[in-house]
Amino acid sequence: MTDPQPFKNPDPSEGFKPSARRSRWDIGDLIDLEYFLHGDEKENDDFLHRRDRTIFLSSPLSRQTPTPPRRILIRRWLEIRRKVAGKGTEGSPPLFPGTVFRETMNLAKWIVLALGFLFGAGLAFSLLNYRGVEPVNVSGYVSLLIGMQILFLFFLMAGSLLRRRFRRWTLTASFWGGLLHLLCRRAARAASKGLSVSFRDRFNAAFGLLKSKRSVYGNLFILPFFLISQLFGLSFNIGALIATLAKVLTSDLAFGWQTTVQVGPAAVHQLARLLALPWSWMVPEGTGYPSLQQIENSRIILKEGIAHLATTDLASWWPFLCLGLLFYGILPRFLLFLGTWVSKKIALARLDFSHAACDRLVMRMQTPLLETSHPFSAASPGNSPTLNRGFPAEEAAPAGNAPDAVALVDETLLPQAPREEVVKAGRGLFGVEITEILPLSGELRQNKQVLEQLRNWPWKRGQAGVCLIQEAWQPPILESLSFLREIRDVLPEKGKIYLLLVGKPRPETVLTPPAANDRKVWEWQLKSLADPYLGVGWPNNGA
Amino acid sequence: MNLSAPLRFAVVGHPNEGKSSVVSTLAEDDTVPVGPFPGETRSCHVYPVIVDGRPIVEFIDTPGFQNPRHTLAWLEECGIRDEEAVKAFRIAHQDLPEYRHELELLRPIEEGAGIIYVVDGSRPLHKDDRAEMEILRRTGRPRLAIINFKDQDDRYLEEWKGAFRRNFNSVRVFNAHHANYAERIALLETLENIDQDWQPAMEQVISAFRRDWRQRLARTVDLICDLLEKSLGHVTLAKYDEKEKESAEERLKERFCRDLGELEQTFHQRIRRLFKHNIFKYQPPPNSALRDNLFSERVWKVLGLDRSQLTWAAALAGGAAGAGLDVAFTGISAGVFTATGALIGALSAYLGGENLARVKGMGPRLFGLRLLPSIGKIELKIGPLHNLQFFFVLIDRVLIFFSYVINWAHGRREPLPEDSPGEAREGYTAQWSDEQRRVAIRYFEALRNPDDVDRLEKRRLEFQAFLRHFLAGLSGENPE
Ligand SMILES: Nc1nc2c(ncn2[C@@H]2O[C@H](COP(=O)(O)OP(=O)(O)OP(=O)(O)O)[C@@H](O)[C@H]2O)c(=O)[nH]1
Ligand SMILES: [Mg+2]
Repeated sequence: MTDPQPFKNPDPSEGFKPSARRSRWDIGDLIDLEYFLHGDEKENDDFLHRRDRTIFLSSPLSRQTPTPPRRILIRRWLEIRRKVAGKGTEGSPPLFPGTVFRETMNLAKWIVLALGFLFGAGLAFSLLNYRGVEPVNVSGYVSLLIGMQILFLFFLMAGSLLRRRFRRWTLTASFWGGLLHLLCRRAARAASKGLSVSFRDRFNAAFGLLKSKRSVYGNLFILPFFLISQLFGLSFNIGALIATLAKVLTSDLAFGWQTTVQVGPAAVHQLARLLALPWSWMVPEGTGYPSLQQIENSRIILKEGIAHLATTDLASWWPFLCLGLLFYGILPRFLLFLGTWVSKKIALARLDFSHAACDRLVMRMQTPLLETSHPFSAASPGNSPTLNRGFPAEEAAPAGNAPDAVALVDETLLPQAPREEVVKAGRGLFGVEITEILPLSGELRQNKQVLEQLRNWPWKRGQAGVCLIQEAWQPPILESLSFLREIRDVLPEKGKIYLLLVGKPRPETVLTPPAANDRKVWEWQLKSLADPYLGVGWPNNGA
Repeated sequence: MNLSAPLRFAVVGHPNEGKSSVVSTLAEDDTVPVGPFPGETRSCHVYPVIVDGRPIVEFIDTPGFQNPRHTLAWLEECGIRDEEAVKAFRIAHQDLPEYRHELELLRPIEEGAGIIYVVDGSRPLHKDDRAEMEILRRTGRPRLAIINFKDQDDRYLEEWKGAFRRNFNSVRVFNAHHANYAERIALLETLENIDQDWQPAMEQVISAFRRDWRQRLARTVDLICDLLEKSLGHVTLAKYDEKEKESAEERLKERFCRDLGELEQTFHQRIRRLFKHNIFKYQPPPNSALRDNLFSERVWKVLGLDRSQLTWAAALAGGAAGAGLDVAFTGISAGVFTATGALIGALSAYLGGENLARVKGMGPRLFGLRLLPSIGKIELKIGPLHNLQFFFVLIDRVLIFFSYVINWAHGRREPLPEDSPGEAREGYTAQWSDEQRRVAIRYFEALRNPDDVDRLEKRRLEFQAFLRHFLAGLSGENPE
């Protein structure tokens, strides 16, 4: 209601002017913000992050460095949220709680202005009712129109002092709080007519939130109501003043005073002077307030009538009454109004939007959307090649008649593979007599030479046997498997290949048992060779 | 800002060394196929890191080398250098099926991808490995070597490092099964420093990872507070006939425990999702205090605060919160847990009178006056369980779960073996400093009076700030 252009209805669905309103917040905006944040509480995190990050990125703010302050970021977010929410509904634009609040306040402002004026004028008129018989009794006017206001100001001051002391539960705080609550409920009910149920829920919740957000916004939400009440006071006093002046100008008023209590004119004079302190420095006695003489002369004593009272003295009271209204009614109200208005502006300008929900919001806007999941990888993992499962059991040769075999050992393993151990392993595992150990350098050319050697090997009784020491911790790759095939190709028919799988070397020997898993992997791969004369063995006790 | 094509990294290596596992852990993607048999990955799979909808970096999982020595021999003989050599190799081997994997894995390199070479550092260096390194060197692309450890054996580490120093721009140990957030970031930072051209994109990715992590922590803290508030405020109500009072009470206690268990389960679900664990079926190690349900004897013995801490805390939190403490402790020492080890049996004693309330005589009422004579029903009520030790036990369980989840690498697929060494952990809260605990207690205290919104909000904020800090510490991120 204290919007600088209060009569221009700020319709959120209308064009947003980035430069002008980028960082300005009013209470309606805050209400909308809380309303949207509340609605978001039930949403899923990913959705929120995606939406808010997109909002952020789509605005020019995202390209500014350093990132603009929160009030601008969140303001922009709010504009877009409102715009988007507005698009969803057909026909009339949706009524956001903030708009309802603004319009309610606007309406209230006009009603209050009119009512205040009427009440003030009405009261003044009825107090100044003069039928030419009895002069108007000033004491009624003073006590009702001036005394009450002084009392009220006093309570206000005491209340605010008390609030400073006790912060909560003071008379005024709970009064304004209650009024706020009541008005919110009214506004919500009025606005929520014709809205869908879920919308109404959010609506009511949003107004409920205002109450619960005191820790966030302090008394900010109470200020508009306070302003409204000051406005009422102001127009009330203006009404009274205008009525009084009108009465004074249009009719010949006679003012007098009377009392049943035994106070003399001196006391009345004292009181009048006291009351006139605020203005007596510029409007002197006799004009600004009646002098002792004038007071004595305007005393009404019923049985004497007024005939003996001087007309000028009877008229001497009215400037005092008008100035009283001005200084005790209009001026304080105006100052209060101004002060509150300014402090509201300051409070709004100082908002830092640092409460938890805003923290999360800003975090969502500023945290990049990070996806690392491969969209197609959820498919079933690659299938393993199908294998020929017909791997024959190794046939151990009869003892004593052990066939000969040649061992192939990588040259890097040789130092830790003493001849006798290799021979022992050949006997124990495959039942063959290893007669020769050929080193393999791993080079392709040397491999070929070894293969040539094997092709021309003088096998005894035609019984060929090659024992290859293979590190099982190296997974079987095509190259190793094709080497086995190449060996097969140079061996005579039914020549045996013995694959001795070993584990990680120990300082003294390479003939260690392989890890069970590595062994399984090799056995599984070897099946794909479908070689019936291929045997596999491994040391099982570190032999 | 990098508006051009994404930065690409080919993750290459010998088969079965853990290439896919490294990608999976690095990208926090547990859908990357990983398997115990070599040859699991048979074609390139691209795993993009998409920041704000734009792929910035792509990790490419590739099949392993199948013919390193032959490939190297060919490259040595052809006499061409760098990318051209790779291209020539491709053209020459296009129709040879046995080179399919080499062609596949060299393709992204030919197209200009950076190289991440993965080896298993727990085994000795092999000739094949030297051949592979030489092949990669000959491609001329910038390259990082990652030493993964398939088992604990680090005897060969120096040997590996020595070999890498000559052929690679950088070397990093990165355990695909144990790497956590901090190590992922460290790896990315290494990549950033290898090549100047990579810097902008990597910087962007790292910053996105960081912010994303911080957001996850903040979200975790929200979920924790949600769980705490729901659990501490939980109320179970039931109406029963007068006659079956005893069994009704038992049933109600059981339901109460079950309800709280469900709250915890939901929380676990959410945390798992937040940290992108889709398949990881959380299975706490055998002697973890998470194996038992919330109200089991063991949990209350190992987690939460010890007696003196609790007494002190209760004094701080003010009278009522501490009520029932003694019952709890005498309860634990006197074995009032039921045969199954659950606290249920002792729940009512433990909870104190106010927590198991009964209202007699249900029926229509007007202004508190019963309209009809009692119809013999009893209303039983358990909760809210506003108990200090319960609060700390909950926090401990939550923190233990959190720490398992963030330390469970996405590349790790199999559950812990049943005989794995106990990771039995005491709670974290017992180790908090007095000041840290005070923040928690103040929050606990405010929870008792949730109508005082201002106070609750303020204290919750304090607690959340502290907790975010703590979680960041647990995950090796510096909180900002
Ligand atoms: N204990 C342990 N096992 C690991 C680790 N990294 C990988 N593994 C295991 O090693 C096996 C192979 O892992 P993958 O990631 O599939 O290996 P790869 O290099 O992608 O294999 P291919 O796709 O076949 O070339 C799996 O059984 C993993 O569980 C690790 O750090 N520790
Ligand atoms: Mg793989």
